[in-house]
Amino acid sequence: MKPQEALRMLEALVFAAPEPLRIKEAAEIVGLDTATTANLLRRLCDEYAARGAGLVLEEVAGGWRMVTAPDLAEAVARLGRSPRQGPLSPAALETLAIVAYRQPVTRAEVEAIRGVHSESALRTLEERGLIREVGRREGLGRPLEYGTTDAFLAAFGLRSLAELPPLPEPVLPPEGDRGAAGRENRPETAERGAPRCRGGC
Amino acid sequence: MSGVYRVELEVYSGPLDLLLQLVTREEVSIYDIPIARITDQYLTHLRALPELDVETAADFVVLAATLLALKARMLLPAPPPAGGEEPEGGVEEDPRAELVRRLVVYRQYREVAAWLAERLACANATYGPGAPSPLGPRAPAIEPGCLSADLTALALAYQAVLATLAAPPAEHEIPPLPFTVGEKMSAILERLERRGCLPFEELFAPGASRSEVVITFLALLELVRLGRVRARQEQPLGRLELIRNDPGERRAPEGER
Repeated sequence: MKPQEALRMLEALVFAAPEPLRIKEAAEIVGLDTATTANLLRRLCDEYAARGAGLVLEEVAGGWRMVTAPDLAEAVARLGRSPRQGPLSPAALETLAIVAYRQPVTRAEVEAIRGVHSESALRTLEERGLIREVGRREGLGRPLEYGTTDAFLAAFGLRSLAELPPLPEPVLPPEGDRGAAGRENRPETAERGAPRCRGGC
Repeated sequence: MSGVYRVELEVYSGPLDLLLQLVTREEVSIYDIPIARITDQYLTHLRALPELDVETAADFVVLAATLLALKARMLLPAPPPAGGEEPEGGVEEDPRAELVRRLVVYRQYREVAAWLAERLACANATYGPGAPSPLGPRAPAIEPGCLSADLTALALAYQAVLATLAAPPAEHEIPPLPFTVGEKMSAILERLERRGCLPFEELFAPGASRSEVVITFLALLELVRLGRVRARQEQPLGRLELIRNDPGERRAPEGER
C-alpha cells in the first residue's frame, strides 16, 4: 500500500475513533506493522500542524485522537452542544495528584498527606473514572488501593504517567535539618513536562 | 477556563491548606514558622469558616490542637538534656519539625495539583470524539459531603417513580393505610428470593397508589439499612437493580480505615 493511501486511512480512523485510537489496532486495520503505523501517525500529525489546521492530532494514553485546536475553544464552545465536564475542586485535584504519584495508595495514606478526610474526594474521582480500585493492601484491614486510569491520562492530555513532572524539589531549610526533604521524589519521572497546550505532537 | 482552579481564600481544601496559605501570606519560612502568631491566625480563620461537615471540621480542629500544643512547648524552656553534655539547642529536635515535614510533603502535592489543573484546562479547550469524555456529563457531579452515591441513586430513582404518579388531590381524606412497612419488606424479600434480582422500577406495582409507593420505598430503605438487600448499578445514572445480600458476602463496612 502506498504511504499516501495508508495516511488517508489512518486519518479516517483517528477521526472516527470514539476513543484514542490504539496504534496496535490501527496497524491491524491498515495492515502495516506498528512501528510504521506509529511513524505514519506522527507524520499525519506533523502535516496537520504544518498547515495550521483547525484540528490537531495528539497522542494520549497510548493512542491517538483528533480534537479541535485549543485556540479555537471559544468558537467551538459557542456551538453550545459540546458537553463539558465540571471542574474538579482543589480537594479533588490534590487527592488526584497524590494518587497519581503514589499509586497504589490507600485512603489512609492520602489522608495522612492531606491532613483531612478524603473519602468524598476519592469517590468523586472514582465516579469520574479518573481513578479506580487496583487492589487491596496486605495487612491490617486489607484497605483498598487506588490508582489512576487511562481515562485520567486522556483527560489530562498525557501520553503516560512518565509525563507527569517530577515532584517539586522541596526548598531546603537554611541549615541542617534535612528531615523528609527529597524522600518523596520519584526518580523515574524524567524530564519536566511544563504545563502547556500541546499543539499536536 | 480560568474557573478550573481557584484558590479561594475563604474555602480551604483542608487544614494544611489553610496553614500553608497563612505561612505564605505572612512571608515566613516554612522551616521557621512563628508558631504563636500563626496559631492565633489559624484559630481566627477557623472561626470564620463556613459550616463544615463534622469530619472535616474535626480535621481542622485536630491541627488547631497540634498548633496549640506546639505553642505551649515553644513557650516552655527546653528540659535540660539528660546527659548534661550537650549545650542548649544541640541535638534536641525542633518541636516544629514533624509539622514542617508534613507541610513540605503536602506542599509538593499541592504544586502538582496546580499543574494538573492547568493541564485539565488545556485539555478542556479541545473538542472531539476522543476528547476527555470520561469527565463528561455521564456522572452527576455529587458535591463532597453529600449522601453516598448509592443513596442518591435510590433517591433519584424514587423521585422518578413518584413523578409518574398523578398529583395528589388538593383535598383528601386519610384512609387507613392498606399496607405496613413490615409487610412490604417481606414481600420484597420474597420476590428477591424467587427472582434473584429485581429492577428498581418493578418494585412498584403498576398503578400503585402514592402511599403504596412511599411505603414500599421505606421498606426498601429499611432492608438496605439492615443489610438484607443491596442496590447496584452498572454505571452512574444507570438502571438500579436490587439484589439479596446474603450474610456471607456482605460488603465490608464503608468506614473501614
